[in-house]
Amino acid sequence: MEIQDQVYNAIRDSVANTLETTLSLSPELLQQDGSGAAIAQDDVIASCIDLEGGINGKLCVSFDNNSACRIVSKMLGMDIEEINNDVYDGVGEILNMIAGGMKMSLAKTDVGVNIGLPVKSDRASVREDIKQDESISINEEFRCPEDISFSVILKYKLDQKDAGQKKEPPSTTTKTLSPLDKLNMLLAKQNTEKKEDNTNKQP
Amino acid sequence: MKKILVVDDSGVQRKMIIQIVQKAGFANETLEAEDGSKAIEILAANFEDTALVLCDWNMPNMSGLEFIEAIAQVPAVAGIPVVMVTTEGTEDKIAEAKAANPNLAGYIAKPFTPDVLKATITPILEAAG
Ligand SMILES: [Mg+2]
Repeated sequence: MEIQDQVYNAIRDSVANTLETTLSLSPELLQQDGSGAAIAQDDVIASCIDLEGGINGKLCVSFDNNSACRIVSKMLGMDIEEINNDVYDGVGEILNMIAGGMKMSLAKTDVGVNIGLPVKSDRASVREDIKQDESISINEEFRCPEDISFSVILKYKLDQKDAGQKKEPPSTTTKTLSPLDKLNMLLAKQNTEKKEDNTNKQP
Repeated sequence: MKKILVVDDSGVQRKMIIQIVQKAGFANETLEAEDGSKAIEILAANFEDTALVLCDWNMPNMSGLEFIEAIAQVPAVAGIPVVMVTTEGTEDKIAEAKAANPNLAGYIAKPFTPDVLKATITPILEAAG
């Protein structure tokens, strides 16, 4: 199978699996390489993740405001009627799971891909991201029961020489103290405080 | 009853995990951290009565892998059971996590059902009493 077909299948399977497993929702594919109706809306909650390795690019999801509120309401088991931080965060986490599932499917083929962290986006940026250039674009529109619609947009280039090789993930870490040093320091500090406490308690 | 520390950069995911834990009937107090660095601070202050850490991998500032690698090296906290809950579900990543923390008590790939989380944490929390 061509890499492009593998990527297509990986995304579609991952969208279905993520929504089914997390929320018992069965998404229906409305349009393949759609017109981008969901991102044509004025109010859009979008999130994007960088991809690196055998394929390089960006994976985004885009919900209209109402769909975003409805899906995050379902995630949290409570009614959310207005856009708040949880809505952006929840949409980002859905994307994170879709990207993770795609990565897992592709790992079974010969395409190694690393995923970054979800970054909040908007209509203008997503439109900019899916503009025509030499990259391969996938823009699929889905609808779930409970009136939840969204688009999944992938734009990528094949990195033939790196296909199959596992690269280090994009670094997100800024360090001053190593994790181990930090833990040791905090535990030592607590120990000292406890000892001081005990000394003070002595008559 | 001992505490459960939930580490994930998504606040929504942390809330979903905590809801599953509570619905499964565990009344343990829950603590939350949005990255490995915050998790270290919280664990250092609560290590004596923490029964379980549920930990994401991909987070800003300090990843879950760096966090579990650090705690594996410090005897005071090395025995606390850690379950990874992450989108990094490929075999090489699971092996990498086990190498970083040989005491890893479980590995859950996202997306997961409530039943999978419940089945993984139940024996750990029952053993902790
Ligand atoms: Mg994460």
